Amino acid sequence: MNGAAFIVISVFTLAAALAAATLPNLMHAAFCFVVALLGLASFFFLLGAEFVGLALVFIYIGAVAVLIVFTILLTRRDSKEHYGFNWSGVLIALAVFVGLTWSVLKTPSLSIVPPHIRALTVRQIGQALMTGYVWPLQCVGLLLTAALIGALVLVMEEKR
Amino acid sequence: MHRAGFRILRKRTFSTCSMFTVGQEKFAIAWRRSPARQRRALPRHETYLIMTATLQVFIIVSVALFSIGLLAALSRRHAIFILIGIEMMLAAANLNFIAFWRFAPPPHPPTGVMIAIFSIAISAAEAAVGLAMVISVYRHFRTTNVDQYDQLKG
Amino acid sequence: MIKSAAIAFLHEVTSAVDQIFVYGKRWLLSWIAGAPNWIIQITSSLINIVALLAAFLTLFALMSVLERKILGRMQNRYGPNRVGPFGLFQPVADGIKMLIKEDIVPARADKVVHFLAPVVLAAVAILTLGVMPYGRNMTAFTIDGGILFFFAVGSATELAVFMAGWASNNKFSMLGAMRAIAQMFSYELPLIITVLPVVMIVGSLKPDSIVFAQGEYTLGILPRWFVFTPWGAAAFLLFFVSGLVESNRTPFDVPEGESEIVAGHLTEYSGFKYATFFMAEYLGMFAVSGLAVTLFLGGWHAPVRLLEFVPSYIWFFAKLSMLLFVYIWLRATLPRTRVDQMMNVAWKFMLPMAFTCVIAAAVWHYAGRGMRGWLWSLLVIVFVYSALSILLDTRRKFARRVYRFAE
Repeated sequence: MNGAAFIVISVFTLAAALAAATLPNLMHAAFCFVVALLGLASFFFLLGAEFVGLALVFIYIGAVAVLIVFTILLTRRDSKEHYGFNWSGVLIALAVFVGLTWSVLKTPSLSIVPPHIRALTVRQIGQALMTGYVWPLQCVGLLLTAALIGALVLVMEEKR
Repeated sequence: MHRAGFRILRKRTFSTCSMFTVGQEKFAIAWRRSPARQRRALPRHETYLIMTATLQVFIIVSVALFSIGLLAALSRRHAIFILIGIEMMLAAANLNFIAFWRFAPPPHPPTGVMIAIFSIAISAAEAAVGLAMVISVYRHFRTTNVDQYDQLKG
Repeated sequence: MIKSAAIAFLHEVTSAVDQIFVYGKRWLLSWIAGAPNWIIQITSSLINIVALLAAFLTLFALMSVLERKILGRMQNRYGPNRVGPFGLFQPVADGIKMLIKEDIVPARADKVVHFLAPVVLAAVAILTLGVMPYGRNMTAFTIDGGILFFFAVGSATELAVFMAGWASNNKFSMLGAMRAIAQMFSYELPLIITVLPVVMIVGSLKPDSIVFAQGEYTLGILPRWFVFTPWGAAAFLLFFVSGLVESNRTPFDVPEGESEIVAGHLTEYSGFKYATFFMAEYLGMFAVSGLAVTLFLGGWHAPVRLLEFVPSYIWFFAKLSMLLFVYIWLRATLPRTRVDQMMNVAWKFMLPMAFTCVIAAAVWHYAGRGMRGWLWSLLVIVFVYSALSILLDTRRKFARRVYRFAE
């Protein structure tokens, strides 16, 4: 794994995520979220899990981001409401970050280099999904169906 | 460099490197890896330096992304921002799983990748339901400012 | 003996012509053979990208004038024929016109997003061109999940359309963008599910493997393309129609219908940005047609074994041109569909038929891939199609015509 590529991608992703969390304009924040997800997908490519990276782009950017953007549209009023910014949230997030980073840096067994592994092909993922992980696959299918039907029921206009 | 978690390896002597290093001497031990290395000087032009990112760096990036998501979820007052923050936290957790999968010792089961795939699917379902809830609550309260969702009975 | 030597020589020549671009790239890379590994990789990728862009931008320019000429001929008039020989330099004139037009951005539009929308759309369209095999050993980027890459990147098109519609700060643009996105993602499902039987039968997501799996010829003359199987034919038709919708072409160009919604999400774009949108739409069309050729029409294989001496990229672009001609033909012939008719077809007809193709492909595989499998899968498809036709029948029953005259 190339260190330079890693630094560039991580700076890019974290900057986009920070922009998504702090920009006052909601649409700009949603688009920065998309950019952060793209950076995350390139992380997955760097780590050798290409299928997961592509699935992330497909599902998150192709579906979840479009959903978010549609919801922003549907819940918009013409008057510009001023939403406050809660600074205690910054303190808590900072505390969480510092605490976790300190604990990670203090764990010496984590400073290992990546071993040479064989690339994980889509065929292996497919075989694993169909043999070892077939029950979770069916459950996820059921869960997605139930979630989407539930979401539709929530949003349906009530008949007068 | 080594304090930030980057290790500078000499390519030739990778096979004699031990996987686990102790404390602050991780860089020192990487240098004094084998007695053989002290005896014969490796010619400079044969080895070249690769900078590799250790697992610590990936976890720190994932933790940073998670805390930024937490920041968005806790400090913004718009319901959809909170959902964006939650999605970001889920994505950071996925990165964590994949990083651990990549750095696992042999044999390499595809467990990390499987968990990540299912996690992506589940987070998509949860995003759909969450956004449907936001729309439905907006229809009642006519605002998305979560500070104004203060009535129990609607 | 002379004959076998002559045949061997001809074989050498045809395979050299077939691989001419591969040899050219290798020759170019040999100039920098001593450089470190990453420079060689970057240069190789750059050569691929430049070749791809050159080929497809030329095809775009050619198609923009050929479309107008073919449309004209089908409407019993000449197309543009002033600018060059037979009007073939029209793209140059169009390009100059677009470049010197004033770039008007609405005052209250979101400048950054307004600028980025055509850029993102064009970038996405070009990215999808990178994974297709254009000839033997001529894929730009081989990714293990090539088909998934194509669809993952293609699904970002909707976001770009939304950015265009929202950033213009215009109600018509917003409405047009929402209609365009609704149309695009409701046809993405049939698009992706019709690819599923091909991937299932081949067992790989790589377009290269899919093309290789269609390489044999039964009895030396009939190619084993997937379009000649019942599930493949149905899947090809569904994929082709979904591709038409994805690229917002007539008869599905509700997002850009001039009589309906001015220009939809493109209303506030002028000059070079409009040209970029135009180019991105055409490149998307090329990408979807290219994928249809790869998945169903055998990629760069020749139709009969005798014609294998023709270079593989010629076959690919010939098949691509055939599909593009059908696109233009449909544009000249069919009127625009209504939005609700389009949505009905997508969800009520095309989605069940797409699932049927998956089942029919499985039936074809397990009943042996010969005559018996062919007949059984044909039976499955015809049965479901008839059932759907009966269930979805919304034809009005016509009454006997009554004439009333003025008394």
